[in-house]
Amino acid sequence: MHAQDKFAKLKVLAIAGSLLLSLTTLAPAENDAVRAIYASAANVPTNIPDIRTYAEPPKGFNPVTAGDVELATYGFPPRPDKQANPDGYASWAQAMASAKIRWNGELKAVAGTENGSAERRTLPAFSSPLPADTPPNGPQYQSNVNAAGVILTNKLTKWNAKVSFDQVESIMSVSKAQAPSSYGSCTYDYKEFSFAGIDSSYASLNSTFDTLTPGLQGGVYGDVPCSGGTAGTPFYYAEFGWMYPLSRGFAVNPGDVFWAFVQASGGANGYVYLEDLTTQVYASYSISTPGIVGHNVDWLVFTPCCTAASDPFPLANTAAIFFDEASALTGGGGLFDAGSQATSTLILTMFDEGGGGETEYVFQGSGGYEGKYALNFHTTGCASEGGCTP
Amino acid sequence: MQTRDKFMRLALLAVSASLLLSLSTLAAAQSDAVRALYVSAASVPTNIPGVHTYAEPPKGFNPVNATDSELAIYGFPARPDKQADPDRYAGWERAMKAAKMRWNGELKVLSSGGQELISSGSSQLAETARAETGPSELSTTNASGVVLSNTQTAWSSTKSFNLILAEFSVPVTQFPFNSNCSQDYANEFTFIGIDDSFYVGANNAEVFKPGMVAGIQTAVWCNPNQTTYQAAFGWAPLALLATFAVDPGDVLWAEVQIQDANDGYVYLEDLTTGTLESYAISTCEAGVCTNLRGRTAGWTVSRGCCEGPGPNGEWPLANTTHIFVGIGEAENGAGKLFWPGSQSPAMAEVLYMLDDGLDQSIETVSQGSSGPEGSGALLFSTTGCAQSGGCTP
Repeated sequence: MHAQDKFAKLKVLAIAGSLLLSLTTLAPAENDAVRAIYASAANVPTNIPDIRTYAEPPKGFNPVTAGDVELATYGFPPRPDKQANPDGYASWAQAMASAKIRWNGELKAVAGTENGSAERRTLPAFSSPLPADTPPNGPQYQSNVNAAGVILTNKLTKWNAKVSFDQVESIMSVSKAQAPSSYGSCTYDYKEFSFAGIDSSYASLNSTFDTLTPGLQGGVYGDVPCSGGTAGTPFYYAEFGWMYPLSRGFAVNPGDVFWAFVQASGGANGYVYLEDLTTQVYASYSISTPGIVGHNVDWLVFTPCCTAASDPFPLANTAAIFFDEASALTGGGGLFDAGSQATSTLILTMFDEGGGGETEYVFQGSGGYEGKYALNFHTTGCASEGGCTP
Repeated sequence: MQTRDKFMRLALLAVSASLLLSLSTLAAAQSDAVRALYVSAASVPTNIPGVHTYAEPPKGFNPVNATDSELAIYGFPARPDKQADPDRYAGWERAMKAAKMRWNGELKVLSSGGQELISSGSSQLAETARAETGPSELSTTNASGVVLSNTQTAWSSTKSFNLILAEFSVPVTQFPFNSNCSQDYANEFTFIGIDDSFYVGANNAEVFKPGMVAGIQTAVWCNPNQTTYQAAFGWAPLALLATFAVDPGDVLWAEVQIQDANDGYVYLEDLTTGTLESYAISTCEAGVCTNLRGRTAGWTVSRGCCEGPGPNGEWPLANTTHIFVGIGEAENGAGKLFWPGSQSPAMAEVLYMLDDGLDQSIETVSQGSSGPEGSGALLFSTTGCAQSGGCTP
């Protein structure tokens, strides 16, 4: 096993070295080549098929001063351009300086059913109870039974190295999750997943409702277990994945600040970096992403599928969840933010499928740093008080 | 016929205008009367002179459906105008629905190790060179944030800031990374406040002085290892006071309202646990009054003073990584709204906190400008030696 590790490391170094030699002048080529390393260097298997992680960096490795190839080789997120994107660079540098404890635990496949790519439908094709709120210009408002947040869309139907969204990130608060106040008794766990992702889509839940299905995503998951009709002690984890099932990584705590960075490294491979900025624990993974298009990026609060009745799990009450530094990139370097006011931007409000009204909504901005990069999610209605009728 | 119609229309307009005038006068008088109730109804003494709280509401009391007078009598925040400010109304309604447990514990003066009596330096607004466009920037030894100011030198019922509110994340508080207990104690306050001010302290540095404030105080001790998180409020010349405990991961909602030159009101609610309390604060003590002016409205993160090792008695700043502030808003007596995302060169100052050596930022703030989040949100970030390594006194 040890020898195998050593061989794998040598192989990585050899590949990295040869790539380094060829990466001296051409920036776009360099970008593509470095991206390829994020896929090729992830050769440490995990216990989940199609998910691999990276070799440990050598002792004393400093990602802030490391070269681009080294960052890719050891699974650290790429360095943003300091001149073109100073805010992004500052956030990255702070996260890299805080990344101290690499987590190498066993992943756990959790919750959800694979809806199948054939059933996935491109956004937006959805009837909404909110048409009156939709302005003629600016973001389009839509309702959903399991997601709230902001989605930026394009019209691509297949992967395009320049135009596809290929990067999305955000920091997010880890808010305490709980059952709705005065909930009576519970049937299922209350869940909540805050994430940044690429290629979410709609899938039919039943003849009446559609649900959002995540694409490639990384974020924070909170769960309030239900046992014997009573809500128990909540737990919190870093989670990520390509559609369902999600994979559960390290534990996080309420009050922590979490950073998720998600990258599509080409049309069939993704990369997720997760870091708890408060505890300095981090992990990164390469994931096989067959069918990824890069037709949307999203910052969402979400409740996963499926209960025994094939419904999304009831939403946990988190009072408020804060996202910030929420930005995205296309392969051609186009910079986007969660405050986008384009007509191709969707603002999702989560509704109770039982007719209990809004359960989670989002505040978006438009101008200035916070206007562009901050989102504030509020739990409301039956998810906040009383509980929603299954 | 046409002339008669015209006359009738004019008469109707005159009657409508006079009715409108008397209605708006009535509304203003009603509003003043309700404001007065927030002072007179706070008849339950606390263990701190000058600070009173409110009677328990009857069982089944629902603040969402209560009248304005009932809200004042039981110390709940005034209902915002649903039409004029739907977002604020939604925030208020959400907080009122979550309000479940009134906290009636004893107030604790945050002192020694937690400080918080404010230094008696001469108070003045920071005289910074105003930017031509956008907010001015000001570095201080003890505060980061956004402070809006007007030119009031005395209380005005129409021009003074008389209300400020926001919600905050309660972050995990710790010592700077890799500081190995080089400090025995560190703290941090996340506050909204009216009549915050500044004075020139040691080394000619600007020192922030809170006014009438409400928010969260967190503190961390090295030996024994302990961390506290509390809802807190106060009026600087009196004291800063700790109320109920909060937990990391909670969301706190705070509102400060000024009724007149000598009476303020604070409301604190943990939106996660439903715990709340409200107080009326008099700025008069033993017959001596310090008048409020309603000159500033601020959203700040600060470190306490004045018995710490810093040049002005500042305590080391705790490392909170990031603190998120949402739905921030302020109002003056005429009902004009203001936001922490203000870009007014005449009003807005963005504060950065420096370490004791005045050579590096230790807490910064990001501001927006437009849209609900751009106007109402702030992101505080712990940086430099307060984030890693520890700051050398």
